[in-house]
Amino acid sequence: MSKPPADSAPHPDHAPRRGFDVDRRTFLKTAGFAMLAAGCARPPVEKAIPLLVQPEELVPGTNLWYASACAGCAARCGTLVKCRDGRPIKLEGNPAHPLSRGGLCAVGQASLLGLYDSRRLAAPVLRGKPVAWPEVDVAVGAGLHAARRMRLLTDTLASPTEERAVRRFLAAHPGARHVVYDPLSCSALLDAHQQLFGLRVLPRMRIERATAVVAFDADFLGTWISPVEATAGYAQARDLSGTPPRLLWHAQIESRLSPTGARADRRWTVLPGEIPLALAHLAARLLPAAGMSLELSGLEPSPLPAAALDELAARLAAARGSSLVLCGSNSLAAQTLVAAINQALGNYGRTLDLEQPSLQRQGDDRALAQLIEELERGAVDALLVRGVNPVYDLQQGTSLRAALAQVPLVVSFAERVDETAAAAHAVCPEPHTLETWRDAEPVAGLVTVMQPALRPLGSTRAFCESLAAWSGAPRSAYEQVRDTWREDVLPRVPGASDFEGFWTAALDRGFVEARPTPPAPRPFDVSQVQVARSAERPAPGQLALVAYPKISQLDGRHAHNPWLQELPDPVSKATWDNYAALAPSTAAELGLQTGDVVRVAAAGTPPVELPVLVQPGQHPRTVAVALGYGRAGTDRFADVGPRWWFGKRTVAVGGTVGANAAPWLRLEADGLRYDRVAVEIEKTGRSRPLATTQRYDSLDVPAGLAPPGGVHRPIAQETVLAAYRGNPRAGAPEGEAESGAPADLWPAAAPGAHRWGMAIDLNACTGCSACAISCQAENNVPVVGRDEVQREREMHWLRLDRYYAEGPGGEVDVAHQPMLCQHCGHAPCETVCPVLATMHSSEGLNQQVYNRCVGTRYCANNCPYKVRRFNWFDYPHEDPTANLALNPDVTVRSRGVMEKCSLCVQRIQAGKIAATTRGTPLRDGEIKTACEQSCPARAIVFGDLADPQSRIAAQARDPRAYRALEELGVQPSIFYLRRVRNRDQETT
Amino acid sequence: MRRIVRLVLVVALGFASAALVPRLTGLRLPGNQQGYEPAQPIAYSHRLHAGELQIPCLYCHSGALRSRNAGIPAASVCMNCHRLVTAARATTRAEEKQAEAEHRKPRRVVAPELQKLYDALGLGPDLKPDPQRTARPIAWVRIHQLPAFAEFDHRPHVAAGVACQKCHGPIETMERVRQFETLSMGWCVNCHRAGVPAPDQPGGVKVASTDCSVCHH
Repeated sequence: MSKPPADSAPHPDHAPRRGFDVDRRTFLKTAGFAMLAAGCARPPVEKAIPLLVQPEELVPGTNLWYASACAGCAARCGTLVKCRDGRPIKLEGNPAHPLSRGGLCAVGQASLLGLYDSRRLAAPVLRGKPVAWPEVDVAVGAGLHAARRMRLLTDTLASPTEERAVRRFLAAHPGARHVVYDPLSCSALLDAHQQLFGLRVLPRMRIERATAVVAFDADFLGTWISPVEATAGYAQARDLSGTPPRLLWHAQIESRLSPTGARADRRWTVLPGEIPLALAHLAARLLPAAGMSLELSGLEPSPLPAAALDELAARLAAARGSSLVLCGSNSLAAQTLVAAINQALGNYGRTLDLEQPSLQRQGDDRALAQLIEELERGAVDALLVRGVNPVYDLQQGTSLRAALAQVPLVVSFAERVDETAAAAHAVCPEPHTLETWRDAEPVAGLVTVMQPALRPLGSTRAFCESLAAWSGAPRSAYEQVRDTWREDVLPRVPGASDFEGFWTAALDRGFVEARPTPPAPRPFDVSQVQVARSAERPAPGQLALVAYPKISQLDGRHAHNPWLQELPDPVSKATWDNYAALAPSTAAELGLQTGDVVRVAAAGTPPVELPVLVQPGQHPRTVAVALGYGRAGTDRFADVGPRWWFGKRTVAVGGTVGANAAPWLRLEADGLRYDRVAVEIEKTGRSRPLATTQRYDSLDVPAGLAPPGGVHRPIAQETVLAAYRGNPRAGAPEGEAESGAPADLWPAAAPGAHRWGMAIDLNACTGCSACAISCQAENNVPVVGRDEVQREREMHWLRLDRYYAEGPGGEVDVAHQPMLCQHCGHAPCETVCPVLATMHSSEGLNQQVYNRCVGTRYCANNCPYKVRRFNWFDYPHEDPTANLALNPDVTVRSRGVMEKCSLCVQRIQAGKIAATTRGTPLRDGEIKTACEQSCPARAIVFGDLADPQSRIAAQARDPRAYRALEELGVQPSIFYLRRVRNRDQETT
Repeated sequence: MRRIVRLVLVVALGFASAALVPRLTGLRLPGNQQGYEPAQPIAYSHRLHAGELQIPCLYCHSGALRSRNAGIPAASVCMNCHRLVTAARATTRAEEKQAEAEHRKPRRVVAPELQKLYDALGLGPDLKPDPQRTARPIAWVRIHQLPAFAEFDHRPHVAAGVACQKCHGPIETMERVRQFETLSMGWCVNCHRAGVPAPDQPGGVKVASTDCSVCHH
């Protein structure tokens, strides 16, 4: 720019102006000095307030751990609650617990955030107004006194104390009845065992003892009954690094692609209505060999190809006594056939335990149907609803709401005014599980104490306390639990006599092993087996609908949890929505693409508009819709995430996240069914893009992107058992160079220094995403909302990549791979950071220094794994209650800063400090990252690669070990162990 | 020439004020609180307790062994001594002498600062809990503060044998505690680089890690 001549008039811009006679330089100088002066002011005075009297075990700044159990679903996995300075900040699996063995699923991890939900009811509500407890007790007491026909409707209690409170309550109120139903019902499975063995219980699945599992529509690794326990057993039965190496054979027959189906070695798709028929055909091949006489003639042709049936029968017969056939269908015919097959295979007593059965589902759908009939007839005087939400859960929701208006007294125990509580006269909110005393007996003989970790945040009252108050004998939950344990549990524990010692030990350990109470089963009665001779199929032009639970939402009771709403589905990778999943061929036939909105209509229900998701691996004549969406009040998430000009709301004000699929359920004579035979799909012409976290599903790089035509990137490697037996390194890409001594950019590590690394066994990982939520809780990862996810700005430090490939018989093969910062030795991110905000630690960690970062994002661009996350905004931390869930050991990042997995460096530091203080070296396995701790499959191992004795060093030497994109020479510290499918030959 | 002199004078004034202003006015660059010496709710004297009476630091600040925070002791810890010691020795002795002269039992003398402690605990004149009074914790003013993005843990420093005075200064001479050091990152790192004498090798030095993630995570 040329300077104006000296004699010329000043440029108008430079001329002094009237009114504001300050030029730019003066302004900047003044502003600079003013800012300096302001910056010199002292920060606000901070107070330090110690306790007046400090209990011995309470040391400020340290963690206190309480053994408890999770109430996220009825499985009741054991937990350890990490409390810091009086508030729980993390839930971890209790490694000693016989069910969960240290794992905890995504829902369990996220239930911590439910504790700090500021919209939970803080006081009881009577006729729409918050009141005090005595007022509610008077009103409810009067109503109960007047009621002759009282019904108590709950989900499965499986709690000795609550069952006892219910018994006393029923005894105090003649004419009262207790009805149990599970929104995710296993009623037919229970009824089948009632008919065949005389015991209405679920046999406990011992997958760890199995060598062959065949599952019919049972998502046992994801959502069915006790997924953490099943995953632990499954991983044990497929442990190739164990002694001896084992590899369970798993076949899945299902209508949609479930996370469990994604793990199967063989997979076939059938319609939901064809499952009983397929089971009858399988029974016809297996029962005669066991000498069981069942009339199995006159069957319709099998929905499964004969070759498939032969393979299933052969595999199962070869694994007699160590096989397992499971069925998630709620049809009595299917369940009795499954029981007959398991009986014929000799699985009862081995892989199916009736001596110590599971009590995790006790719902009785026939009793529910009767209750609905009574309600509609107006034959109920008082209804108490606990743990379920029938107006939302059931097909009859709308008519039930009308029926509830006719009931003189409806009491809800919900923690918020949900769909059913809105129709209730009184809402008596229960405290969160971490706020009260409870207990559980998820498996007969395993009694777990659930102790509180903090005082109730609101004026809430436990279910058993309310029942006791209304039975005329008020007693606190603590006293009730102790009474039950003194009178009912203690006598069942061999060798225990002194109650106080027994109680203290139980609190310390979290559970006791007692004698199971159910009586012995009677001999199998084959005459009770029902045979399905035909299948239910949709008419031409129609589709069958499957309503299924998602890992993150289950039956919808966690819809108010933003962590779970933003957790990508393990298979579809979609967040913040449910959708109509269609097979690719069906979608092509109807001219639909992912994101197109369709109207799904079934007879007797109003049509619902849903976006389409094209889902490979689904049966072409089905449409699958997730349950648990469309919950009232989820418009609270309208403004979740950053607010800015172009930001879109996650959900419309007054709307809901997703749509409720419950109206498509049907309550049949033998139970609640989750499928519809005849559904029609109609195009609306509109579209609503889904917020998915993965847009590319194949490991093949398209020809347009890879320079010499298409390239296969073997990031998630796998092989088959036959090849692995011959060569343990099978599956490694051809031409892979044996690693020599590559040149090193950095000085050699000091002797004795740690070298942190991680190994992830892809053969064990089920994609359940527990690690992702555990990481989110541990590392204060923000929730960004639907719009930001669509802009690919989700913040999860650990993501579960999912790839599709073609499998045998044209079925789809699914690969899951947890992807996190690989902590490269030659990290591409480090060399491009202009301010050294990301650099290498002396222990092999790739560190991210937030207070140095200026937000160039060069590092994210240069990262081959795309694991870096940028804070595009100051993500909202305005809810003081929700902020209590933040981990004080981890900085809350501000806008303009890059972040990523730190390998839980705060835990590494804590472990090292503990060892220094103790004066002894760190033990292998002493430091566990959050993802490793919560993994139900024990697929993740963290440790010191420099220690040749460590588990991680052994895993890194395993012939299955490889590193992702190793060919780039970035020397990652994360090892993956190749997946081995139990197949005889490569299919491709 | 005059221009140069003026420039030199301006720069010198700048340096002089940079050196003097913090000392004279208490103004600092953002984040630096060196010399911060706020009044506390109870005029507790470290000179008396740690200096004259030589009570070990860890007697009251036992958290330094067990936690990241050394912590301010709970009022119950004070009561271990102050259940008996209610005033300065000279005051109680004067009362004893006077009582002897007046042929009566000596009255309990309570120093005004200690009365604040008893009030906080809700104790009556007999030093027993008084249900009429409400106990109220003592709100001390925090002196040593680190920014939220820096994590400091007392345990490894105590385990390495770093004396409390190394960071907190001659606390045993301070009537009222003040922040002695800058507590800046440069100051931390200097010490981490210099290290402490290694216990296992005579004359050796054990240096601490200077990895960023040791303090920043």
